[in-house]
Amino acid sequence: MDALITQRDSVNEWMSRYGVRFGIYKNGTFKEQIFPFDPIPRKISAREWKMLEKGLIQRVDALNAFLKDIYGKKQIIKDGVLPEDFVYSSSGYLPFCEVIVPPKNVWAHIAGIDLVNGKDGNWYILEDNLRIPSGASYPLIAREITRSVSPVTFENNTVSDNRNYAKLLRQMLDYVNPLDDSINVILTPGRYNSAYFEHSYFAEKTGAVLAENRDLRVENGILYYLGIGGKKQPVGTVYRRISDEYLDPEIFNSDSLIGVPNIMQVYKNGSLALVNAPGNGIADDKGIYYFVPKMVKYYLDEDPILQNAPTFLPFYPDDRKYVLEHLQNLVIKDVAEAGGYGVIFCGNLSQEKLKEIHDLIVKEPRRWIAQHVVDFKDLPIIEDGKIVERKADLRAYVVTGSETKVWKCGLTRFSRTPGSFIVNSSQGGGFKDTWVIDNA
Amino acid sequence: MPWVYEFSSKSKFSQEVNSHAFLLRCVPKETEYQHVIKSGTIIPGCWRYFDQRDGFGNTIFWGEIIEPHNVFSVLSHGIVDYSEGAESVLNPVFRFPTRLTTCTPEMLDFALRAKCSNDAETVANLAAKVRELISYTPGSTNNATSAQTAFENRCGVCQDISHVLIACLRGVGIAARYVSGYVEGLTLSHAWTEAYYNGTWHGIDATENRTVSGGYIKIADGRDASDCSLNRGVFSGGNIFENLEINISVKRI
Repeated sequence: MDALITQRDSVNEWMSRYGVRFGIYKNGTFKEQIFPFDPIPRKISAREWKMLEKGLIQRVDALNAFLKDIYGKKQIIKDGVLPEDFVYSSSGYLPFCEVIVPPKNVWAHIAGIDLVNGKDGNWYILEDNLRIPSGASYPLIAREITRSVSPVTFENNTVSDNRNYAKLLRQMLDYVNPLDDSINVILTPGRYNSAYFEHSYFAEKTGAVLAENRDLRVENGILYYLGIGGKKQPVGTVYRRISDEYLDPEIFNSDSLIGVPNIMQVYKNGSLALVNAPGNGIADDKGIYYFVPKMVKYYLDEDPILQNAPTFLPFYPDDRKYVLEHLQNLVIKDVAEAGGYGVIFCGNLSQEKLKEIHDLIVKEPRRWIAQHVVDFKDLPIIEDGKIVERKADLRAYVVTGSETKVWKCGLTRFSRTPGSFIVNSSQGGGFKDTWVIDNA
Repeated sequence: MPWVYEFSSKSKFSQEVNSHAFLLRCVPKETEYQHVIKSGTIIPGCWRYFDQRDGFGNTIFWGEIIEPHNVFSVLSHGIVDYSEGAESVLNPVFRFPTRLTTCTPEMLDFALRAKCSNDAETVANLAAKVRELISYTPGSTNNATSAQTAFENRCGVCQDISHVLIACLRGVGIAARYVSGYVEGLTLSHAWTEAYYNGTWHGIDATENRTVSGGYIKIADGRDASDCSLNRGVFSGGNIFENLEINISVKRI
């Protein structure tokens, strides 16, 4: 125990020295907090991992096929699998991306898929993150520091090496890069951004150049990196860590001070890969989530290996009836919100509150999804020198370049409040390393 | 009967600017009923620009002028002709509200009271009611003003009148879209509305309280004004005042 506490304290100390922080904007104010590390790793056996890996690859392949279809022929709508309302009323759908074909036809280059391990032993997908899933640097750094403060840990355990993440990224960035003799860039909003550490860390590890918008300029259909002394280098891939609405002030939010004017022109011409592709928000919309298992069947003609948490769509009259009659057993989610916000656990609500939710659903059925609470497993964490049990999820990182690969690690996030199911870092949770045990 | 248009815009900057990136929508859109016979555009100082289509099929020209300059001008002219409107497939995106065209409960109430027995009458009546409500007041709004704000303040310009009408139409279940373009007799660009019923789009200019016919040259359409801006630009240089002059003429030949 003492050894674990020492290990935890050194990791947290190192992370704070590196400036590893987590921040979020909510209601116009910026909150920054540390994202505390817990030294007891989540362990996943090689056998279980193999199943997860297959299921994750299948899911991300289906989501990529969906994005290609939805900004192209829209066959899934024409074939009646997905009602058009869910696409066209979503804020994640960007009409500007219609008929654009991204280099190598990859849309969701880096997917962060959130899962939980239910008490019934099954894994359930909670959310797909296909825009800018962050956080992969946390377990990487935690592992690096743990390895240096306690090398013996890794002599006594057969843990899969996780240091290949940068290589996966680099291979992908190179693969989608459409220009000869060009560089890869990581576009950051700047050093005051809370994820700046992650941006600079990945730049260093992948050999990409870390750039802010003022370092980049579009000229005659090519994006250039403006080096010191005015040396211009063509850029073929931008791993951008700024969201779609700020990417190009000529097309999206015209007030954006962190975007690159005309970058969408170069992208539309096919002379630039944007990682991830703009417009992906349509595929990780909470309403669209319901349809992902159907996408697996539709695009791949396979049965889904990984299941969604049981979900109901009040949009469908039968589901609406069920949801309204069983509200107190359900979690209601606002499809427009993210990061653990807009999630209502109806079990704890007064009759009055339940009536309010009831009316909201009747008024705007498309805006909500309802789920049974998945009772997921607790994991041990150390708190006040004792081992206690807390709810935890897993974010798996799936990288798609020439093929789809799952990183043999992941970010395990836990809730610090006993019994709470909300593990998002924006809600004050902590994280653990994730060990995939070889030959176990 | 063909129509000829001439468009010129000139931005004068109080100081030199550089790395000027621009995106223009200035040439007529080819549609089921509007046909571009010819058109040409000159952007002095820009030796190459890209001619693309945005997500709604509007022509966009975008390019950059890197060297320092005080003036940015665009000249475009051409000829369009019209045919009978053919049937067109509805892009369902025009059924849904956007941030600028949200239909509040008060607006929905207003729209429902103007509803008639068929869509054609509803559109005409609603356009007239919106025009009655909103007093045409240049300078009272800006390009980020929502339909809700214009509705509550009861004032605005053609953009706001179109936004309010679009929000109300979508609210009562009629698909609608925003149009920007050039109109005979107006030297500045104009905005109007199209409503979808009986299998095709019908133009209505609520600001001028008339249906759209020859002499209305459509440049762009989209969900709201933000999809149809005629001129967007981003440049470097500090504390710069931009003076924009636009001159448009539309004539029958």
